[in-house]
Amino acid sequence: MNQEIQTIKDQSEFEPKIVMFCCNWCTYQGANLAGLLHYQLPPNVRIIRVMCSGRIDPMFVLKTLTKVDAVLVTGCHLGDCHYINGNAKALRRMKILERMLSQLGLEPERFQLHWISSAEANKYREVVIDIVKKIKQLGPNPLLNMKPETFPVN
Amino acid sequence: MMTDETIKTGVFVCHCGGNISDVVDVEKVTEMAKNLPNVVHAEHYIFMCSDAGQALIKNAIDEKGLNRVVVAACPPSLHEMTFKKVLESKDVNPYFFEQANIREHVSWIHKHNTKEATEKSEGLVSSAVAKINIQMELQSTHIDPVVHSLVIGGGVSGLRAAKDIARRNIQVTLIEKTAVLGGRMNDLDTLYPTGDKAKELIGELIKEVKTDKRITVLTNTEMTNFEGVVGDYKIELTTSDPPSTKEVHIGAVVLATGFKPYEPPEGEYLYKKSPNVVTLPDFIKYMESYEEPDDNGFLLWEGKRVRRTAFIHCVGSREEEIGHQKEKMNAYCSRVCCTSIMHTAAELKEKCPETYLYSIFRDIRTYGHNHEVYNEVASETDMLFVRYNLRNLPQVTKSDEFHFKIQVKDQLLDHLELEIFVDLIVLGVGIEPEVIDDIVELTRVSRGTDGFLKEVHPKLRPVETSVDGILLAGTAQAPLTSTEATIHASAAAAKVAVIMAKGVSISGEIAEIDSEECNGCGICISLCPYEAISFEEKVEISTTHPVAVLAELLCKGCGTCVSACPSGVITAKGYTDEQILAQIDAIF
Repeated sequence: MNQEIQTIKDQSEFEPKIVMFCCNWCTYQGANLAGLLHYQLPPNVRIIRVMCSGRIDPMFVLKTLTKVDAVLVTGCHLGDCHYINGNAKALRRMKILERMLSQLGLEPERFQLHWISSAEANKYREVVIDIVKKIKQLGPNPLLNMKPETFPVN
Repeated sequence: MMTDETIKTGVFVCHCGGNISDVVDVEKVTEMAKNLPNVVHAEHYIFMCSDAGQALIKNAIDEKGLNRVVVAACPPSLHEMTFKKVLESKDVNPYFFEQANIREHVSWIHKHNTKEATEKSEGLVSSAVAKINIQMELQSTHIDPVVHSLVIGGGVSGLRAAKDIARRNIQVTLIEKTAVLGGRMNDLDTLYPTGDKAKELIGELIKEVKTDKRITVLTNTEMTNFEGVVGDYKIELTTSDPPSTKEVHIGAVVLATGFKPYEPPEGEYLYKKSPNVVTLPDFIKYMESYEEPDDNGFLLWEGKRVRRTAFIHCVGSREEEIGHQKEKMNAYCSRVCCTSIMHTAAELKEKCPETYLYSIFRDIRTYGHNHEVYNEVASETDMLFVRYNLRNLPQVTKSDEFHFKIQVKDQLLDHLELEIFVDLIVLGVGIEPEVIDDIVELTRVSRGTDGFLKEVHPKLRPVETSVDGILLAGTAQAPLTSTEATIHASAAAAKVAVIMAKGVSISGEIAEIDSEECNGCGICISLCPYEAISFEEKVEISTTHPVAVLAELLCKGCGTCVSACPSGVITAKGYTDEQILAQIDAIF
């Protein structure tokens, strides 16, 4: 396991900063389970906990993308939301945001939406490893330090 | 809101006895924390959750006048309550507490990377401080619960829970979806480790429950609607025979929905392909009414003499891809089957001493108190134990109409392939959770990947679910023996009593609508999953349109309305926009 982390680290010198928004009931607990199982993971992802993925305002994602290299929004599986269907509402918002970000010229890998349950420590691990690998390949976020006049115009 | 100078934040970094400090440089994190805005005190200690650790927080509150506390330690689900109580004991509002998770989310997952693990801990602590520095003063709402509980499931766990709750003078409604009480106990013969007749024991319990005036028993009844909050759930119960529906107000609910035996698919070890392949529960039922042994001491099955019987262990349990090619696999150990096989084998040997027995096992787990004796009893007979492993599952073929050949590589004989000829095969099938999709959908309790209902924490809150006021009893939660199930049921009953005695505290972390500024678009109303927001004409508000008003007791604080309000007039208390934005700024 440690070897795997070292391989990811050695992939490039660039160490991406990634923020993951987790809902309290599924993904945050899934991340806890990954810890309990002592899965070894790259340290690039930091978690901000909210009660429900439905709380995540697209504005939070935009703001975060001006600070870091990638953002993950996560929640319970559709149909399993602790608040009945908050995640379905998050899905709608995030899909619109996804289109908007692609119009801004942002690579789709930099904003990802995943449903990870409290039991899916392994899926959590895979998502974290996958995004770190991808962002290491892509390099720093082009939106960092971007000036408004350089925004691409369609 | 307080001005900046009045906010005094304390940061406490926990070593967790080395779990954290072996990886994270706690000294460095503490020093970093001292430079964060409003932080007037920071220290680290070996166990923050211990009495001595809690005393450090209390002292710092006394000496430095802390009014915000951040503890960097384990996840909030473990010790948030512990630390909030510390604040409360010092008259600091418990909502001014924030926990940074640097164990599960840092030290345990970045074991070989002290530098980066320390940096990440610093980020998480900074984020927690940024959040708590601008936390609003919140209050929980206390409500008196309805002193009436609902128990779902009329098996041994449900009956025990109902009886234990009623003994504390709390009204109980017990519902059972079938026509009879007793559940799976009705299918058992004698129970280990006492050898008591299951029917007698459960009959006694049913009688006690039925005669208790504080308990209302409804058979053929299911829960068809579930709403409200802990302390006052409004629950609709629908009875199919005679058809009727009623609504009850319930303070707390015990889920004792039980299990079903694993039903092997047709063909697994020739199940259903031959009448001489039988599951353990069916065999127990057969043996219960079996009285006249064949005169030579052999077992009679379907009128034919059985000379050799094989018990195959772990059927539908502990399945893994390397051995089983199935779509749905039960990875867990069902826990009861080994002892049950030994118990049944010993009884069979007693009734039919000439029958020769085989145990085809992977591992034998007669783990319980006083269960080992069954393993010994079975071993003392001439039962032959053959050990298979996951890579070489036993292969069962028919040698003729009534006989089978079991090919198995005995691990204990260096994988020597044995051919065993038997007349009867008993499958030691495992336990699966009862199908309760409707209840899960109504209540939103969590299930594990194995399908069993999940407790909040296996050690700290073992019978509580993620939904307040819903407790777990018995095999709905995990495979258990009837002894263990009754222990769980009594524990759930005790938790119901706690809710009834203490009352219910509803979190202050809910939404708040500034109705004055509401433009009446109604988006939040259509989004709220609990119908907690409604349109009202407010005379005191000088608008020409109706405005959104929140029913606070119905709000569960998900925050979905907050992020949708185009006017930005809804606040998620405890998770405000400002707080989350501050966390985003501070986390790297």
